[in-house]
Amino acid sequence: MSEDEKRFSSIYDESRQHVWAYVISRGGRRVVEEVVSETFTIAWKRLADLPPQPLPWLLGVARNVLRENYRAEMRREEFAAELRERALPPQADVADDVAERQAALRALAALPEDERELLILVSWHGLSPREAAKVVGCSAATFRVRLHRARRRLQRELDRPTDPRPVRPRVGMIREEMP
Amino acid sequence: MSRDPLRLLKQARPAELDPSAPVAEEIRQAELTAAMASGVPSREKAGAVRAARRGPARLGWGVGLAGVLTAAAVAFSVLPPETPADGRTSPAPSASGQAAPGVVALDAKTVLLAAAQGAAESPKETGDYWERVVVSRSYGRTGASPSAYTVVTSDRQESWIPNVKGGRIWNRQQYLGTRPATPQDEAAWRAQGSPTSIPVYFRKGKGTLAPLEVAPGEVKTESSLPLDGDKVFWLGRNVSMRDLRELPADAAKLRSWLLGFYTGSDTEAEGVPMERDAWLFRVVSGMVTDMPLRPEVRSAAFTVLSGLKGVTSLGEVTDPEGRPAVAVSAIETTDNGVLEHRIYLDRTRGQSLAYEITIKKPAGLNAHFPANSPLSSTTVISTTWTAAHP
Repeated sequence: MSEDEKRFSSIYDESRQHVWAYVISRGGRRVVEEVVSETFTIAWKRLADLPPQPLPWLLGVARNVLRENYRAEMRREEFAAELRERALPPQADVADDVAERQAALRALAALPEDERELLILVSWHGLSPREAAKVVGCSAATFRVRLHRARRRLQRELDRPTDPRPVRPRVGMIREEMP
Repeated sequence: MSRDPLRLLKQARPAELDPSAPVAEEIRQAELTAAMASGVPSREKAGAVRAARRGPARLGWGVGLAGVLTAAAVAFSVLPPETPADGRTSPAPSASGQAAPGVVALDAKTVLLAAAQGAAESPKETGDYWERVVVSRSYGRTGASPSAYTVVTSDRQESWIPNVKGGRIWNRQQYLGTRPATPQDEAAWRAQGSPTSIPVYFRKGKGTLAPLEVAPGEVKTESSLPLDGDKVFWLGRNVSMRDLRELPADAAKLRSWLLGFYTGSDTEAEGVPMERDAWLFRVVSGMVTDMPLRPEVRSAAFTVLSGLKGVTSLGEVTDPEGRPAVAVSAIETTDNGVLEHRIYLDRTRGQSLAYEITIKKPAGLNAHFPANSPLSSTTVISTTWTAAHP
């Protein structure tokens, strides 16, 4: 194995699941494999560009790949629908109330997509505002302002008295394919 | 709630999105190999992070085109076509949605009241799981004018909806592939070398896209628990199987029950206004197409539809699966064109066979399509009550 191959494999091992989870939260499951695969193909070709902390760079590439992907663009809201509908099982090691965590996911699903993205980058991927700003392509200062706003909005959604948020039809009911 | 919302959110992360979860070894090998086989790393530093153009298609041919092209057409035929009320044989299928020549168009009210009658006379059935097979299609445009053509992407979904306490929702799904939509489109596709990977327009002007693969994908099966333990459908609000059973069988009562959840917003977008009758059309057509209703409730639902403004009849047509049907439709004006929402029906049995959206007047994202192209459809192949799930 060459030095390049070793370096690339270790970057892959550290970041692949982050890229995978991020792509699911932005473009749904249908495209995740092809987008992850393309992201790492680009990373390999541009290995010389990869910074010592490669995750923000990789998520930024995945984000661009998603934007150029027709099927992912059509499915921007799929993940939010999934959060509302399916009650994805949360991590087992957390002792908190299941209802509270489900409420958090539903509150997340109720936010506009760009705010949802900021919150996911920070809370699920553990990026600092500076790193997350690189992913979405804005300055760290702008990111902080946007994050503050997104966080407030999340809190507002959490504080809302629980009305059962509309679940999208589960068995392929009326659904516009185009946004 | 006083807790830090970000902390709460962090704890709510679905387990499968945990970035420290291991990658399956065969996936790891495949992805690393694919990336490193794509060339050698460039020695130059680039200025900005950019997505590169897509490489050549990865998927092999495998199945053979004939198999792919016919799979969707021949594999399922459980739900029979419309039975004409007078018992004569149906006209030969023409293209989806086209009325057979020489047939007098029936008005929407007559068609829907006939369906209401048919539904009322259908047998009462129930079971532990409601199993349903649908094929969904969505259409895209590819190539530059004058050699542009339309392709259709199909997915098959089989679902089992629990009617027992603690039951899970099961889904089995398969991407059936993308193919030229009509014989003319197929000729254009062949003239361009029969590509196995077809790029499809999404935006006006430049729009780089992922190609859609001609070859079908794998069958995937997954299950989940109903929301809040028992909610399985959306009907203006989330409802359980029990809620469905208890729906009123009287059309006026059903209508007002449904309107109790009408807020003035579009069924698909909070805050986007939608007229009451348009909202009822969407909700009720979803109800009759997608949900297991008691015969008398299905009958009431068709009666509700028969009383809506703006519903017209397309007469005797064929559904997206090529089965004879009658269709009624409603028009919706959007930024992406004037769209026609169609319900295809077997009026004798009071069954909805399919739901389709077509583009009457292309605009916006749909500007590439010729007028009257289909945009998407959901076709019900079969429904049955069963005791088993996968």
